[in-house]
Amino acid sequence: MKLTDQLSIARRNLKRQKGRTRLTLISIVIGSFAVICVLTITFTANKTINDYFEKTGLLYSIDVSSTGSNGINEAMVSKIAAIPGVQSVSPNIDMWFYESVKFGDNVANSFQSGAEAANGTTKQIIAFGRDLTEADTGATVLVSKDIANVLTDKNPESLINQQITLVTNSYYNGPDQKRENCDLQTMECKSVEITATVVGVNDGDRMILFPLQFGIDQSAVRSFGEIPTCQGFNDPNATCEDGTIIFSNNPIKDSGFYSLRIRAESSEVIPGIGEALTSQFNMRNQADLETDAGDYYFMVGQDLLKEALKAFRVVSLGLLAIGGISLLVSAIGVINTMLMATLERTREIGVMRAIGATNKDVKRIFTVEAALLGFMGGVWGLLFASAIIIGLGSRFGGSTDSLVSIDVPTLITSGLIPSSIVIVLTTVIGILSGVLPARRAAKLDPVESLRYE
Amino acid sequence: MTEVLTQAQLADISLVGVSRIYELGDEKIHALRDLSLEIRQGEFVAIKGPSGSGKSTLANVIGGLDTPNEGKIVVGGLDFSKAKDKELSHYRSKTIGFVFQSFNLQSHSTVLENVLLPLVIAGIDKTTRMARAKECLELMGLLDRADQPTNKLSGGQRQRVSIARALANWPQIIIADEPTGNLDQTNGQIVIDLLTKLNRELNITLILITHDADVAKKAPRILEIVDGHVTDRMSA
Repeated sequence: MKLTDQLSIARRNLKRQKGRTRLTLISIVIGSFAVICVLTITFTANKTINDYFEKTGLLYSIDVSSTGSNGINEAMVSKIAAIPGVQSVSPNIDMWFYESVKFGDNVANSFQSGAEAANGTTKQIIAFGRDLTEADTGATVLVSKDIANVLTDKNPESLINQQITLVTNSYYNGPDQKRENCDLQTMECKSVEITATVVGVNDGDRMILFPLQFGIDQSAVRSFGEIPTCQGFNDPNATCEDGTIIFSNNPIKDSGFYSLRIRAESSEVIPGIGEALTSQFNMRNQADLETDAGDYYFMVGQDLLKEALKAFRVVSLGLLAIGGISLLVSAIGVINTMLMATLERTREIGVMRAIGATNKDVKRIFTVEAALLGFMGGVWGLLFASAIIIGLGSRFGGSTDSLVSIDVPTLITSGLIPSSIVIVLTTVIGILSGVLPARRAAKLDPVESLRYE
Repeated sequence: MTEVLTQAQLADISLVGVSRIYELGDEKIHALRDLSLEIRQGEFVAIKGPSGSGKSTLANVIGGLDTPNEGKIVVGGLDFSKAKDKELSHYRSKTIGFVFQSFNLQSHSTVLENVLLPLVIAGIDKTTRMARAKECLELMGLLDRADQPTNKLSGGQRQRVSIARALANWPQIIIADEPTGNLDQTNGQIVIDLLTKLNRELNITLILITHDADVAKKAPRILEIVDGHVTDRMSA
């Protein structure tokens, strides 16, 4: 008996019991739909996270941090830059003292601001305008697209070359702070507004980025004290103006940077750089829990990626288990359907045996039927999942506010297409579920079958 | 007709010391007892006997559907005791055509689909099987009903579809188990006439199981079974 004929018979038999076939199919569709959705999310997210790490250079980065007692001074930065395999280094400055940013009537409140060297250590994905360069030293900024959207009512490109206003919080004691703004008892000051020119909009996440030199300058700390008269005042570490002593220091210049990012030439040289950091600077790898804490520690971007993916994998496995249970339930449905079919078609099986069907032919007819159920369930599951995922992807994906944007083509190529393997899975489940009923059908005695009422 | 004749080869039937015992709990029922007989290719044999005498069992063992507990059956050189499932299935497909009392047609399928089924199982290509199925239906005078579902046909028509199906794979033997049992006298007569015509014109061995003495009389040779024993005699 030819396979095409077996398929044709199987299709006709399934059509005979439309209601039951549909119900069984629904159970397989639910199972395959769940698994396809989970796999699509997992595959797409994995691809997107990997792409993000690759694009931003995080895949080749090592972040060094000081534990507090000693900063990373210029000499150390130079030594680290000289380690074989290091492409570039950039100190990072956290400019925590900006509370809000304004442009016209629009205000954005929740963001991070910082400064780093514009030497490609962290790759900026520029959406509009340009990246910061080493020639930028003053109040020029790179604004993330989400912040730019808020400031411009979703016209981020219009922010290029415009001046935005950064408003400091009450703890700002930087170079732009003035004596008259501050309460000398509580040491709290009024907000100061600092203007900066936007040179570019990037794909960052709620971030405003300044040139490194501006960050160093803004990190200077001024503190004020009262004095009856400046006459005769002589302290090399302070100045006196109108009865106020102004103490000024710059912790970065004095002690060094709190953190630093290293960009390696390739992923292969990262272990060597890690070893050099450990041996030359007594640093410990954050991932190495057994080593005692030194003055510095470092984190390898690849390890972060692995950790991120590991956490994601656990969630995915949990979701897959739920999808798997749905498929198991649908497999039981297929077994039930096929056992019922065996019972109902006992006499028919007898006739088939009488007109020449072998045990194998009977077994194959039932197996092909079960496989067809699994296959169709998988195909429908994929169609439903595609419709919903693409629909949701079109509605919410590729958002301009999101750092990790997932667009529809990525969903299809990275998620749905690899997930279509589920059709093979449901077909195999169909075949396996059909084994027992098919074997039972094949074992039926032809004479008894012909007598079956 | 010519095609059927050219396909026909000698399929003599030989049973030697065949016994078939069924076990119903502790009770043993001897359906056939030490039965030996020969049926030559092209013979028309009626197997007659009361209900439960073993007629259908004999038809089933000759048809390769049932296996005797003892004895040897050889049909057209095929020794059933040595044959595997595949060989017996091939024998049922190519050598034997069954006609059942209750027709055993697929009621959801059309007349044509029912006749096509044995050809599909035999792996015959689409063009040949379609031509052959239509040829068989034409022989039975049912070609114009080819696309009708069988549940729309009368009993006589259904039995003719059943004969067409039995004829599909150019068989040398037709085993008809009470083919008129569910039919009125007129339709019964039509069916018997068709079967005897096939025997006479196509040299197909016809084994007709019946409990009706008048039907049995149509056969030149009658095997009468009582309690599993066979009396072989020529029709008067």
